[in-house]
Amino acid sequence: MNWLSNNAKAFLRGVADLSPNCKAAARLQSEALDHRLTFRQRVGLRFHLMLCKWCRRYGKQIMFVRNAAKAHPDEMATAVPERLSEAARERIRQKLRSRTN
Amino acid sequence: MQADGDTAPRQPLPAEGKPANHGLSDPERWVELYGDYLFKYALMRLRDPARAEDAVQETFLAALKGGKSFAGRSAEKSWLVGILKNKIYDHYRKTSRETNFTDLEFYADEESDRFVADGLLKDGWIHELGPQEWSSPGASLDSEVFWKTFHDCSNKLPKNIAAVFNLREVDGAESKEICRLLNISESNLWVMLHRARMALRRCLETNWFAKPGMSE
Repeated sequence: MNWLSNNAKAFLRGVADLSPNCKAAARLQSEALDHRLTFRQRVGLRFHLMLCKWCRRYGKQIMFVRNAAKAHPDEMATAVPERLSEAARERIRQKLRSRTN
Repeated sequence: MQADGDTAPRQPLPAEGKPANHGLSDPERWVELYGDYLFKYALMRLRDPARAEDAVQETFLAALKGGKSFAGRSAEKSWLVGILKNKIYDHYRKTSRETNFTDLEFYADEESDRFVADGLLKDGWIHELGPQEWSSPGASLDSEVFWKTFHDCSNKLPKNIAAVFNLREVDGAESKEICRLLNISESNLWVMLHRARMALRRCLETNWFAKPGMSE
C-alpha cells in the first residue's frame, strides 16, 4: 500500500510539475493564438485548464476579443472620435483637383 | 452587395465636363464619401493626426493614378482601404528601420496585483480578482457604446503595442509577416501581444462587462 501511495504521490508531483501556474497559463494561452506550443506545453496547459475555471475564462475572453476585433474592423474604425479636419479636406480636394484637370 | 453579373447601369455622378473615371465616383467626392472613414482607420493605426491626414491624401492620389486597376464600383471603399493599408504598412516599415519597435516595458508586471504573491498557490489568480464571467458577450458586438469602450481601451495601449495588436488581431496578419514588417523577433512579438491582450481584456472587463447594465 505504501508503495502505491508513494507512486501516486510521485505521479501527482510529476503532473503538478508539468502543469503551469495561472500566470504562465495566461501567457501560454496567448501564445497558442500565435504559434503551435510544444507537446509538453500543450499537455501542461490542457491539464491546468481542466482544473482552473479562471484560466478557462481567461482563454475564452482573449479569444472573444480577437474574434470581435477581426470581424468588426468597420466598427472599430468608426469608433475613433476624431474626424478629418476642414483644413485637411480642403487641402486634399485641391490636390485632387490639380491632378484631374 | 450587388453581384458582378448585375449590369443595371448606375448613373454616374455629374462629372462636370470630365470623362468618367473608369467607373469610379467623381474623385472630388471621395473626400466627402470616404475622408472621415479613411482618416479614422489611419489614425487608429498611426496615432498621429498629421500622418493620418497625409496617408489619406496619398491614398486618394494613388487611387487617382491607379484607377485602371479598379475592378468594381461596389468595392470602391475597400479598394481605397487596401491602398491606405499599404501606405500605413510602408510607414511602419520606415519607422522600424529608424527606431526599435520592440516594447517590453509595457505591462511588464503582467497583472501581478491579481495573482497570489507567494506560498503554495504563488502566481495563481486571486479568485475575487481573476477573470469574471462575462454575460452574453456576443450581444455587445451590436452596441456602439461597446465599440467606443473598446476604442478607449485600445487607445490606452502604447503606440507600438497597439500597432502589433491591430496587425495581428484586427488585420489578421501572420506573426512572421509582422516580424518582418516591424523588424522585431517572434518571441518579443508574442510577449507584446500577450500583454496587449491581457491589458485589453482587463480594461474591457472593468469598463464594460463588470458594469451593471452595460452588457445586458
